[in-house]
Formats: sequence, C-alpha cells, structure tokens
Amino acid sequence: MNGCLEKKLVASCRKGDASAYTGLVNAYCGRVFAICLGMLGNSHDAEDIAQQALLKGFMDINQLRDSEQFGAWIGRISRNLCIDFIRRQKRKRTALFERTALPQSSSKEYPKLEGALAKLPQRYRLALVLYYFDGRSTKTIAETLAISQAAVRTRISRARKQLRKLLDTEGGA
Amino acid sequence: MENICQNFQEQIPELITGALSAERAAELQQHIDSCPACSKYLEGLQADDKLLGDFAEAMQPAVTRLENNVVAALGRGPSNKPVSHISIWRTIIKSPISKLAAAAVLLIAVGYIVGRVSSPRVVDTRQFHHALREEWNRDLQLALANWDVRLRDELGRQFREELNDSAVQTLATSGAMTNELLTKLVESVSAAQTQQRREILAAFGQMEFNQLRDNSRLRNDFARFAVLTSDEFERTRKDVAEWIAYSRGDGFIPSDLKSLTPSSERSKK
Repeated sequence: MNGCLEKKLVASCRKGDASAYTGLVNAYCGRVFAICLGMLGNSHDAEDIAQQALLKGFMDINQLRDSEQFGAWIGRISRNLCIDFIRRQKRKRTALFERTALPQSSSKEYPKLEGALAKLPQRYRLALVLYYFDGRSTKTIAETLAISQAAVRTRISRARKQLRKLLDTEGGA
Repeated sequence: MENICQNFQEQIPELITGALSAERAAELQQHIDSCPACSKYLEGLQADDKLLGDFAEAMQPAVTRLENNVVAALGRGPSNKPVSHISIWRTIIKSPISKLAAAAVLLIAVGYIVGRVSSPRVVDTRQFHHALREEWNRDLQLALANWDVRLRDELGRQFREELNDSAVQTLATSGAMTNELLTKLVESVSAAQTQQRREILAAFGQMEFNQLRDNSRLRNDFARFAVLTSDEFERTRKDVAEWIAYSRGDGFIPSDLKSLTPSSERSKK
C-alpha cells in the first residue's frame, strides 16, 4: 500500500472513521492471516486470532506512533496475540500442533500439507507461509518479521527442505 | 558421488527461493541436468512449491471471510471507536511543564525517604525489652541446642565404647570355645587313629592265623588225595594185571605189574 494513502487512512481511523479502517483491513488482512497461520499452524485458530488482531488494531490505533508503519505494527499485534494464545493453550495442556484435520472446508483438500506444515518449527513455518500468502516477497517478510532478507531466504529454504522430508515420509500431499 | 549430490541438494531449495547467485544457480542447474537423483529432488521441491501456492489460493475464502467479519464487527456501533486515553497520556508526558512537575515530585519523594531513613530513632523501652527477651530466648535456645548436641555426642560415645567392649568379650569367648572344640577334635581323631591301628593289627593277626590253618588243611587234603589216588592207581593196575592174565589164559602176570604195595603201607610212607 502507498505510504501516503496509509498515513491518511490511519489519520481518519484515529478520528474514529471505521470505513477508513476497512481500507487498511483490505490491504493487510492476508498478511495478518498468514502471520497467524504461520505462528499457530492451524487455519481455524489463525482466522480467530487474525480477527482479534485486526479489531485490536482499530481499537488501539492511537498507540501507533508512525502512521506509515501500520503493516509492521499490525504484524506485531498479531504475533503477540498468537503468543498469548499459545501460552493459554499450553496452560490447558492442549497439543496445539498435533491437529492435522481442521474444521475448515479448505483444509480437507490439503490435510497432509497442513499436517506437515504444523510439524515445522514455528520460525520456518512463519517465513514459508508469509512467502506464499503475502506476494512472495522476501523484502516484505523481512520488514514484517524485523529480520534481514538473507535470514528470510535461509528460513524459507530450510522450511522447504524439512517440508519435503515430511511430505516424503507421509507419502505426498 | 553421494556427498556431491548431498551438497547440491542442500542448495536446491535456495534455487527455488531465488537465493542463489546467477553463477551458482547455473552451476547447480548443470549438475541437476546430469544427475537423476538431484533432478528428482528438484521436481519434488517444485511440486511442493506448486502445492503451497495452491494451498494459499485455497485459503483465500478464509481470508475474505475474515475481512468480512472484521468489517461487519467495525460497523456494529459506537462501542468500537478507538480508545484515545493513550494519546492523551502521551501528550501529558511530552509537555515540558509536566516533565518539570514530575521532576519536582520525584525530588520531594526522594528527600522524604532520605529524611526518614537518616533521622535518629527514639528508644522504645517496651520494644527494647521485647528485643532483649527475644535475645535471651535465642541464647537459651542456643544453649539448649548445644547441650542437646553434647548430650547426644556423649551418649553416642558411651554406646560405641560399650559396643566395642561387648564385641571384644564376645570374640574372646568365641576364641576360647573354638580352641577347646579344636583340642577335643584332635583328641578324638587321635583316639580314632589308635583304635583303627589296633583293629588293623588284629585283622593282620587273624589273617595270619587263617593262612596257617588253611595251609595245614590244604596239606592234609593233599596227603589224603595222594593216598586215595595211589589206592586207585593200584586197583587199576591190579585190574589190568588180572585182565592180562585172563586174556592170555596162562596166569602170566607182567613183572612190572606184580610189585604191588598195599595202601596201608603207602599211607604209612
């Protein structure tokens, strides 16, 4: 999204203009969902937490210091909410990443792939999911995750390698 | 060959991600073209790449649903307006007047705390007595604890000494009994040996006596046997002489068959 337009939308949101926030939601919805999916490894929980993150973004928009950094900011909110969710799940002694079949209709098409993704280490899965869900740009991922582009490429490559092994073991997707 | 392929296969994911330099990518591609294993591995990764792309496409309805849900939640009413108290707080913090006020409050607080800490205290007799009693109690408890420890040590020492004495006495008694038993054993063994020796000598004497008796019996039996044999021989000789005389019809008897010695005489011999 254009930085200037983003700044204007954020300014309108600060004044309580929910329709302006719709524009931001439209632009960053996919990325927020991808972050949550990458963190949680489960599309059902990812959808719930992404919704919470986007609504929290609107409620806390006045805490955003740099209006042009909405993307990075909403990404941080999403990751923090995911971390909180994982902690809550751990407290409940729920095996979060052991789920292979998900209640969403889309997951029925790729159960093995989702199962293999769920078994990847979180940092590799997050980079890989963001790559495919957010325009295949290592630069954007580097900004979102606040790491270097080289680190992003390394994580994606390792994720591919481990995913290949997992899919090989499970007999393909 | 396997190691080479392993090295190349380490880099194939980076080839798909586009993380390799053009030169390295060309070198890798050249190897892949000539290596069926690496070529197969690349095909697998490309299939995964396509699969992940399709998966992302398939998840688009979920993203759209998410967007719609958020937009619907935003349009529900005035309760969803952004909270602005953080902004007000930030404005207050950024103001130079508020910074000065905060500094003044901080100085006053620090001064108060320093004054409280450094001011002399009035002696409270009740508190003093209480503290003294606590001190005595502590000393008493300490003394009791020391006495207890000493008593336990002394009792332990006495117990160990008695145990040692008892052990020594038991060992001595046990040793004397063992010696006595050994002496009795040696004596009984010696007596048994003497008795055995006597019995052996008696057995030898009996054996000798038996031998002599058997010899005597044997001799007598031989003599009797010789007499009987001689009688029988003479009888046979006589029969032969008679038979010869009878067969010749003239009463002739060979001379060597004539000299017959009666058995009574031979017995005498």
